Amino acid sequence: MRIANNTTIYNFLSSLNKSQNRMNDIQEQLSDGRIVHRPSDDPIRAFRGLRLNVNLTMNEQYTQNANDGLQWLKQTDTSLQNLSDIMQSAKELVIRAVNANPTVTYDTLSTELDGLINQAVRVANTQIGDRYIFAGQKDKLAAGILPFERRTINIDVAGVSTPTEVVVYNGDYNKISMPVQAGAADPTKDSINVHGEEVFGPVSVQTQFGGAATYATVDIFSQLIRIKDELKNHSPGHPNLTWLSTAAVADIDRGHDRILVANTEIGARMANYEMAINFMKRDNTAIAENMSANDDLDLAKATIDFKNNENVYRAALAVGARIMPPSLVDFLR
Amino acid sequence: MRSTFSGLNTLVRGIYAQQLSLDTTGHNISNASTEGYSRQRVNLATTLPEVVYGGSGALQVGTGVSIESVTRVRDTFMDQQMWKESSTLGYAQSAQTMWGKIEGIFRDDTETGVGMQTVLNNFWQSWQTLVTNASNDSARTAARQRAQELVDAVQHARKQLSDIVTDVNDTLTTRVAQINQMSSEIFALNKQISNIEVGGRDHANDLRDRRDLLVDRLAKLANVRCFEDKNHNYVIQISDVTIADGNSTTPLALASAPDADYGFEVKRVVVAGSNPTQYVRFANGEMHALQEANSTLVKGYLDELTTMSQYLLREFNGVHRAGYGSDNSTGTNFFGNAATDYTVPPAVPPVMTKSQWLDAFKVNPVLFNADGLAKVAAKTAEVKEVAQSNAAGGKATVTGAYTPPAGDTTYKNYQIRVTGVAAGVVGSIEYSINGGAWVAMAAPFTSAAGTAPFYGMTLAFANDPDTALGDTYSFSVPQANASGDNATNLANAIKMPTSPGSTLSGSSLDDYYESMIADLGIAAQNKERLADNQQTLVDQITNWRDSVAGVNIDEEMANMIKFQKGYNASARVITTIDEMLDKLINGTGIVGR
Repeated sequence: MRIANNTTIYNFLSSLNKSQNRMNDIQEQLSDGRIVHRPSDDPIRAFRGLRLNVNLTMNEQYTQNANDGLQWLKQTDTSLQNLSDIMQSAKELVIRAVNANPTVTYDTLSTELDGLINQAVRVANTQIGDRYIFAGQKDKLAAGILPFERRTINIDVAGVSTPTEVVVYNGDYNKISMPVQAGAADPTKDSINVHGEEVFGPVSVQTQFGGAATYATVDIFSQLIRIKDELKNHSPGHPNLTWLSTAAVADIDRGHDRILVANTEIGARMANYEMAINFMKRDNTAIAENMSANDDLDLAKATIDFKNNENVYRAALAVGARIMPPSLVDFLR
Repeated sequence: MRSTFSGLNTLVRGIYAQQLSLDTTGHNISNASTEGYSRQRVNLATTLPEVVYGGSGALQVGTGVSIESVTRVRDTFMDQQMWKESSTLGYAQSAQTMWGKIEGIFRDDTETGVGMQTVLNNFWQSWQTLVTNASNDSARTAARQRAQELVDAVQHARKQLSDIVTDVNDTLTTRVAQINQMSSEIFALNKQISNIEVGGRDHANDLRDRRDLLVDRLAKLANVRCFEDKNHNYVIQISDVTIADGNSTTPLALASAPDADYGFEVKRVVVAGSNPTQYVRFANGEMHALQEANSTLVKGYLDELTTMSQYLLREFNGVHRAGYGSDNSTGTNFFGNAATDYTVPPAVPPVMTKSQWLDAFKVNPVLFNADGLAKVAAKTAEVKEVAQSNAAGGKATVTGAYTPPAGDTTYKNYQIRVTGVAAGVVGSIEYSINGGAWVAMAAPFTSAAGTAPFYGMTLAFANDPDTALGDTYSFSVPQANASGDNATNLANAIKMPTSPGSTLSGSSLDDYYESMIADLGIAAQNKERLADNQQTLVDQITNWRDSVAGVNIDEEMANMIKFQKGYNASARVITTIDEMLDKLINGTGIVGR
């Protein structure tokens, strides 16, 4: 084939350009360590990269949901344990009262029980941030309203207005879901709260005397208040010790049982969520590995490729420099 | 008998021929790097021999050299190949640029958080956060903000796509002007060449080179068919339009018409002065890529954006409309206008056009109002229980569910004031809504029972001696509610597969976007490969063509020496003949002088 001068130059330039293009590609990859920079670099990798990124985002978000739930569950667990301790103390207090020779006066015991009731109400009003944990879905109430309020109401007892001390429940009876997997919310699987009735219930409805006003009162508190009143009203003198030692203790035990059942439910859900978090962490590692395998540059290979290309480029330059200038012109006098 | 001086004539011809050859060598060297130049050659032939009668009969004596022609060395077959392949190269390179631009628009760098996928992920995450923090307004703000980001991303992509069309229109204007310029130049060259070459004698080498170069350039722009008629004119056709021949040129022009679906201006090429809807259909070359870009390519991606917007306006809105805001409002659009229900396709036209869908795609402005956040529907059920904020007294309570007046979902807080009381029995009350004017409660307020109906609820007052005139009670429908089950549904609407009958025909929004990116990648990669392969082919043809037509300096130098030697030798022979004549004239016939 006859070679024209322009052919040499044209080919030299185009091969130099190709070489530079290759170097540019490798350099782009080396600069951030990733293979794909636009879909056309490798459509399959680009697609898989996006998919994996979605998986990672979902995994991280569900882990975050589980952590949010777990924080709630842990707080609930602590509160329930505190309540359990309070019930334990209340029971001990009643047993001390029915003792043959009580070491303190019934009045003192009554005051002590009163303190325990207040303590229990305080725990029942526990918040995470500004959200009440035992108020069902009404976890935020208008200013001035608490989910559990201790107060005296006039109730209608056989046509007579009777001031009665109660604890009113302002929450509702719904579950809060914090799902840790895709799909519709399902309170049997992903609820993280126990509401007032589950912990302190049952809840009775009391009608205010002289009107249609009704209150949801929490029975366990009503019972504790009754015990407190029994102790207080019969000092000096003797309260109904038989009632105290049987029905009252049984009431406290029933209430305590309910708290423990709630605690068990919370504990089980906690274990559940902790396991879910562990699984998701493991998944996270797997997804991260997949992403890395999909999009991370083999640095050693790329560096060698780059070196190779550089050599080719240098060689092309060197040969070009020697081939192009000489012609017969240089050798004619 | 030959003339005494016939030898001189022979050599003068030789000197002329060598000189002309040397001049042509010079021309070749001078134009070694001229684009489109093909090397020229002086074609020499012997002159007619002279018949001389010698001793044994007639002899043919050579009379020297004559210059037949100066021709260019060129292979027209290669030219045809070149024109065909460079059209494809022009198309591939331009198409590669177009696809590159679209790739730029849909750039996803999930690591640095750039691109639509990241925006979709963020949008989903904001709903998931709302699921676990349904009673926090900050989570609602985040969802609204992320939605705005998504809208911005879609609208920005839309604008960039429309910008491509504008760019293409501008480029088309330039290119059509270039084509017209070139076709008129070819026409002018046709005239000159056919004049010069009349009778087929002269070869208009340099003019032909220029004409071929013009066709070379034209071929990159469009699918050019070129043939030479019997008068040496080039007839240039693009598709079925003859844009230049020996008689005239046909200028092209642009006709612009709005796109049927999106309304942007699309320019198309027509024959100037003819029917503006009779488009010139380019089958190849840069023009083909440009026409493809502004008539189908950009539209295809706008359609994808439309489908995504349509899904969010129809199905996603559907889920949102089914839910309840924290103010118990329902049927609120999350995207689009407040008034339109996009979930119900209108039974009768006018159906929304594609661009109307895109125009409608925005975050519902109602959500940005002062009470807008409360309308983000995070729960699936209405919660109407009312909380009382002056609970300490316990002299008034509310039972039943709050039912706002028909068509009004904004009332949330109200106050009751006792305006008449006698011995603890409340006689009359008045109320105020959202801190508005006090309105006397109309009958039936039965003071005996102490109750009054109030927007579906029953107000109850205790007969209490402490009840005083002016006692004021505040009630409110709870603002916050921890129920995020509709937020879960909304989150699922972004990431989970849709129903087979949905706008996205079963795939999830993510899947839809991802497969669009995969398709885009494959198509862009195809164009890149086509451009690369075609470049290699065109390189090959360029080399073949140069191999025939290109100037080789070494060759020219060797020829230079050849012609120089020939010239020198001719001159030497003239000297010799001169000496011979000198001898004959001055040295003979002087015997005995």
